[in-house]
Amino acid sequence: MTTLSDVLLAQAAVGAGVALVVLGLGAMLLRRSILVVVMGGVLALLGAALTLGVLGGARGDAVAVAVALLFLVVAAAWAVAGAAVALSTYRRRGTENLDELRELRG
Amino acid sequence: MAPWLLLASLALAVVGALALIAFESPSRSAGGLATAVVGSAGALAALDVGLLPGLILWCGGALALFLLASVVLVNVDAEERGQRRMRLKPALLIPVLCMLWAALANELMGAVPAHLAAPPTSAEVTRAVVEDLTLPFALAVVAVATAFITAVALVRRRT
Repeated sequence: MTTLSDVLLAQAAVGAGVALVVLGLGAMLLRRSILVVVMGGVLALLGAALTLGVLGGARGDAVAVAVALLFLVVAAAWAVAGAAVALSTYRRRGTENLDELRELRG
Repeated sequence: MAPWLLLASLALAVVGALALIAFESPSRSAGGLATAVVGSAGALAALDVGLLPGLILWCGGALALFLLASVVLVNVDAEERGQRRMRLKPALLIPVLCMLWAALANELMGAVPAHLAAPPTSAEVTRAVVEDLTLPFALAVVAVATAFITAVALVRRRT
């Protein structure tokens, strides 16, 4: 049987998931290190997965939970590619700082 | 549902996310990401959602450790220390982020039904992956493989 507190807890979990998405986007916009920007992207995708997982669990929808898994796979691809770009950029330019890279480009 | 576990996990996830932005050192930011991963997995485990908590813990934890290893390889800790680490003024961005959170959370919290259904089991989620989302998962796996191959090619390339 569902109580009011269960619904409120599920809503709190959705709010926290959205907060992770927003904070991830904030990290991508605010920070200067490519690696931290990549971490922000992973955090945003993790927040999306959390939100979908909570909503899918609350509605008994297995497909929504499966889509949350898909978000995790996309986060893995994003992290691998982003870390490789950061390492490659550091080896070629000696920095992975976005502002300094922009100055180097002219 | 275990309310204390859920609330503690959610608090852990949000604190980890805040740490990712606020800490000066990228290695501490990676620690914040790992904390957020553990908090998210704990929250989903408290809600009894099948399959997802374990996969978030393993895959997300592996990603956080992988990014931490990248930070150690690049040694950006020493480089970033003492420099201006924010690209925009936080005072400018924080109100925008708060408004974005309010807009999104308002819509999505309303999507929670008044009577919660039984959460899907691991078998149901696996069946949905195999039967309903075959093509998206196949494409996502191809994307991961492509990312790995590109990563190896980029890192092995000489200058």
